[in-house]
Amino acid sequence: MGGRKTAACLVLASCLCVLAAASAPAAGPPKFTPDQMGGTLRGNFNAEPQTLNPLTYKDLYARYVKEYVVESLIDRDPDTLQLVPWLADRWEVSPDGLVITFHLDPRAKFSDGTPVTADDVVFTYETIVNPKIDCQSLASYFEHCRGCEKIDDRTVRFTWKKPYFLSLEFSAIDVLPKHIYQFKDPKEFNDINDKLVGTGPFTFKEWKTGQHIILERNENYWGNPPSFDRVVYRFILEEQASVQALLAGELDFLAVTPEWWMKLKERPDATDHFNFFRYSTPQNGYSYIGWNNARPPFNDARVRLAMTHLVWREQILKHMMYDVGSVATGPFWPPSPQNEASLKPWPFDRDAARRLLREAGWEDRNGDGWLENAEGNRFEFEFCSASGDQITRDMVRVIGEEFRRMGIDMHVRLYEWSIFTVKFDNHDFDAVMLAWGGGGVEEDPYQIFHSSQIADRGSNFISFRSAEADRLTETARMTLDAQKRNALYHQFHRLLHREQPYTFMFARESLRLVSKRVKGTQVHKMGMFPMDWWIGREGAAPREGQGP
Amino acid sequence: MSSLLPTTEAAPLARSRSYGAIVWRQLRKRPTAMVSLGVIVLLAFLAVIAPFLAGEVPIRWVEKGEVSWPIFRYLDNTEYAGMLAFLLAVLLPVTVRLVRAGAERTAVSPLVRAAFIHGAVWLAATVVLFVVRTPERHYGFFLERAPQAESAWFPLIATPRHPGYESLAHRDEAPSWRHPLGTDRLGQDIVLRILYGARTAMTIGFVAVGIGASIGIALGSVSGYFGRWVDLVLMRVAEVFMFIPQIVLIIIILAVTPSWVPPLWAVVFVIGVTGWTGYYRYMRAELLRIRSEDYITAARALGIPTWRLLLRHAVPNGMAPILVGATFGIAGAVFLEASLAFLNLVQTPSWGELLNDGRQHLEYWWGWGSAGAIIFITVLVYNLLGEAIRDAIDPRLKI
Amino acid sequence: MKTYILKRLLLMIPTLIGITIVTYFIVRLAPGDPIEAMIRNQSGNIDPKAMKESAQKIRDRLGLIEYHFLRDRLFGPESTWKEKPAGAAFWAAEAADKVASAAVGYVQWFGRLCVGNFGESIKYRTSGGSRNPLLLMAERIPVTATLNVIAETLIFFIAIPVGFAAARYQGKWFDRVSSFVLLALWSIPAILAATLLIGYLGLGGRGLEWFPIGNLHSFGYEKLPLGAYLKDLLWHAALPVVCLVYGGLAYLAKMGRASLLENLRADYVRTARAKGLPEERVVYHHALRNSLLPMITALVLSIPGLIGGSVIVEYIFSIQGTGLLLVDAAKAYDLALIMAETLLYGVLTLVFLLIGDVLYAWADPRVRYE
Repeated sequence: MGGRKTAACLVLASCLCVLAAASAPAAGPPKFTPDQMGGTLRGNFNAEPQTLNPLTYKDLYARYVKEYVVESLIDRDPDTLQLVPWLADRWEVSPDGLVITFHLDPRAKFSDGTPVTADDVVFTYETIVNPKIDCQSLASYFEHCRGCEKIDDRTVRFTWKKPYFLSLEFSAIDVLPKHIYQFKDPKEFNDINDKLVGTGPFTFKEWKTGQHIILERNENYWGNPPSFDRVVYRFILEEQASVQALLAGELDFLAVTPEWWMKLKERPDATDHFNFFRYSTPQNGYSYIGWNNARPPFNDARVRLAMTHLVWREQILKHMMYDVGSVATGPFWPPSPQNEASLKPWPFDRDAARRLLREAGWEDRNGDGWLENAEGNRFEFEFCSASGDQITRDMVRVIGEEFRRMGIDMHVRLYEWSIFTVKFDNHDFDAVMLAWGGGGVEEDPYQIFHSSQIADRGSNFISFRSAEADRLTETARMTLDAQKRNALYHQFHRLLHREQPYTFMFARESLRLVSKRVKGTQVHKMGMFPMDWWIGREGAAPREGQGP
Repeated sequence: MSSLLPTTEAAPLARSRSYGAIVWRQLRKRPTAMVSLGVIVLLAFLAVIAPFLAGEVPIRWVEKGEVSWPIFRYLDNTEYAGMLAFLLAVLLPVTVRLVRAGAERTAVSPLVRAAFIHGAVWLAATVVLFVVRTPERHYGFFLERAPQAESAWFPLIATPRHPGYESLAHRDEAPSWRHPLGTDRLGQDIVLRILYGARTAMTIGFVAVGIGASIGIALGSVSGYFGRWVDLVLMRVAEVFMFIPQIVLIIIILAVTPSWVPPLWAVVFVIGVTGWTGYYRYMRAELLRIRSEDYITAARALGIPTWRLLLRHAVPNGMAPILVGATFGIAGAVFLEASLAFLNLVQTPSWGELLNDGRQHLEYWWGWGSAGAIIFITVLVYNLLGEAIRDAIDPRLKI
Repeated sequence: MKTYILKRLLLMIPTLIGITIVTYFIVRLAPGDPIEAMIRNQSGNIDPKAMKESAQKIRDRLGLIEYHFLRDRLFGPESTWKEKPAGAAFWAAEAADKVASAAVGYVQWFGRLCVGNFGESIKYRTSGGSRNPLLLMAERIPVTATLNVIAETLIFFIAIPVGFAAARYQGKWFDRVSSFVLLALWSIPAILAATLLIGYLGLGGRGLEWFPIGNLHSFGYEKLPLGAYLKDLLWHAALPVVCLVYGGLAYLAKMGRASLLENLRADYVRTARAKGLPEERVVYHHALRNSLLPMITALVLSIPGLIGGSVIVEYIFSIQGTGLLLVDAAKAYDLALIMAETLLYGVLTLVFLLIGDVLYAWADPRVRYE
């Protein structure tokens, strides 16, 4: 049972260790002193990954594990947000942005000692774009890439068809060892599910289904060795059980929901032994209510804006999410340069909503308490939700109650996930509440908001059509100058704010408890990375392998 | 001197008691059974009058000199039907006595006849109600307008019927005068949730078990009476239902149920349709025994048509184990619903849901504590009643 | 007797076939496509053409192909549609096609079953990476079995003495109190019990922190010597077992009581008493022995229910057992796994029922089967 169900992640970071950065700061771990080395770090996953195949994996936890073992060509500094060298120690981008050349660091080698060569990069690229390999979402980012070629043993070149502001980041792929992963039949590669080998500071040791995943320090690591001897992730599905395991000393760090965060803050057995961290990373993403822009009544922007005015986001944030997160106004990560920070969220305003609805033709014409339009149809719609997490269900209930008090008849239907996806693939819904997982610091909203992405089950499943938005996203993505591009995105953000194709709900935040025996914990602009941390020799892990 | 003159009339025939009456008399002697029955009736009563005890619609409202009784306008048709059902159920003994006094001894027990009469009355009234009346649906905002009214008699606990933005500010409050059992995680009053949860429990209990028992009785009697290939086929059908884990059936049937069916009725349907095999087996065993009894042979000889024979003579005599099973079945249905809520398969406003909600945060004990306690009491009471009926029928019966 | 057993075994076959047909059809005909849902859920934003291909490949492999004979004949192949047709005829054609596909699929499944191929699970993998439902279940059965064996043993050794004592002191306070207490225990919902145990007896909880609350083993348990391993297992199993035991006592105790009472009323007991044997000897040596056998039968008959019955306990305590597997498979429409589990459940139930009936006949010579 996963945590919050995200409908579809804009999984840029799936191929971009660069932006994922959940565990790897610029060029690997920092330098540790000898007595900082040692110890086992124990974490928890709320759901078990399906596969650890470094290219075909689909879920968040698989990505976390991959990031310990596999590295990519360049990275982002977690504080300055600048691109920094990693497996490639320098790179060049042609002025028109179409040719990107990487030079591999001569020191880089895989965990078995083999040096990293251009062949490995080319092999990884070809595997990704191979249509028979089960990683179509990754491959789709290379739709406009002509190819990746080896220039010499240490140099590779990516050539793109069109200028695209993210092509450098996309090109900085993870590098897999060709001599380990090469295959004759693509099925061989697809079937790999627990072979994970790379250049990273840790090696994959073992995956015991239903129990744990173990990673060990890579003794052959080409960079600074990491501090931990081992990293262990357990699978405790129930949140209460995972919290109790944490408090009992069986885990060293844990992600918690806002409710537990508040409760644990008041417990001395938590505050005495654990540090509390709250931060935002690009992967946090945002939640939203998606209105079906193609169907009445939500094909009218005034109606959508009225609905936004009726969602009291501040109240929900305060009481249901304990102020963890912030009200979102658009699809960009708040610290990102693409975000137009001066926009303030629409306030909760019943009068403004009534006015807008009246303008759109909806008012109570017959005194029965419900809103009707000129044809006499009552304002009613169905709110779809996949029976997922409790907070979403509660939000929908409370919001729906407000709609009903205003005279809008909202029915909530909970669907099983498989039926739910069919419904929204066919655009057969009125409103849904979902979330997008974020990707990198900069993102391309083309896929979600451009009108070409409505058909064929594209991500623009709300059928938002705006010629102006189309023009802005098309132009921006091809603009390589950051300043000009971000100005266009600010305009785009303002357009979304006026049109409200989604009612943006919350930009989410991460909450972590980390044991005080773990040192070196710091919050960067892009989040927290276990590779910064250390336990050292004195911090023996209690309760490991012992009985009562 | 006592009169020893022989009377000219024949002595009145001793009133023989029907099987049901014998069982009832036995039951009356056991205090646990009577208390259990009392608790059940009380729960049903509370479920029926819930809007008068907790809610946002006032019973009486005086504004600008006009007196009105809003609650009656706002009660749903189903709520009225439920009230009527309860009333008729409670008045059943009265009708039984009337029937018994009026008619001669008939083949049908007076209880069944009275039940039929009440059933018909209820059905007719309900149909008329649904056709004639459309209840008030929109909000009256009574709680917010209370200061404007000259006089307002709110239910005992005046609180919004559904959680909204305002109630969010009162989440997880400990018990107080305003909220005797505290509030839940959305700020809803717990007493209100327990009262309305009682409706869910009663509905699931009675209707689901009713469906299951009906199917079981129908198929079981046919199977037991006719035997041979009918029995062979039906027994195989029952085995299929017995051997597929009920939870799997429930999950899948719930998935198939169209979305316009309210979750409560989906659950009722599903529990009923997957839980009939026990009753089937009981009725079949009883029929196998009964069909060779003398009175059945006599009835057949008299030329009574089979359906009548089954309905009027065979089945009523085999109802004993069904009654016991049904009572335990109601307890089981309440448990099952809680499990379904726990597994996140349905969202019904029920005690099971309340129990689940509070489970993660034990310190807000009023939520899960109330739900756990009320489930416990209800199930205990049904179990005690079932035990008592079983002992009353035949303490040696191996059910 | 032998012919009876044989007859029962033969009759099992049509029942099992019936079970599998019903289960298969229900799962196949349920709305929603588990394959596409799974792909979408995990990989999200894919090119829909690629998704279709991916889904098609998986469907072929798993034997879940959807045929469209009727629909194609009436409305033409899907690629030629300008827009999706509507109407009753279309709906009927699709429905008929679905049923036909399910039928074909069932025959395929059955054929593969006969050669020992149980198909592949959509959602799950064993720790070895296999998707074979048999292996998946084989991994989990020991877990469920361990828990249930411990639980059943405890139930037996607590409930029977209590039941017998209640019969011995029939009508006295012990009988009445024990009956009420056991019934009260039965009435406690499992969720509540588990929650209370975890919260007040579990590590990291708010009360006495005596027992762990998750899994059946501590981390690193493989390295433990046998003694410590068993101790660790029992320590972890304590709370889940309590949850499984407390509710099961009532039924068996009641049966034990009834059984002993019946024996105490029997002729031979009256004879023994008339002969002047002391009450203890009468009760304990004669009636008790005769009452015990039906209890064992009842125990045997209740075993099949345990496979799926401990779902709640398994979920709350994060124990990877078959009950949880079954429910998760059902939710995910994981056809191969559901079929395998249902088959297993059916076979076990039928076999145990047969064993129970045979035991009963063996124990009581008066019982005869034709």
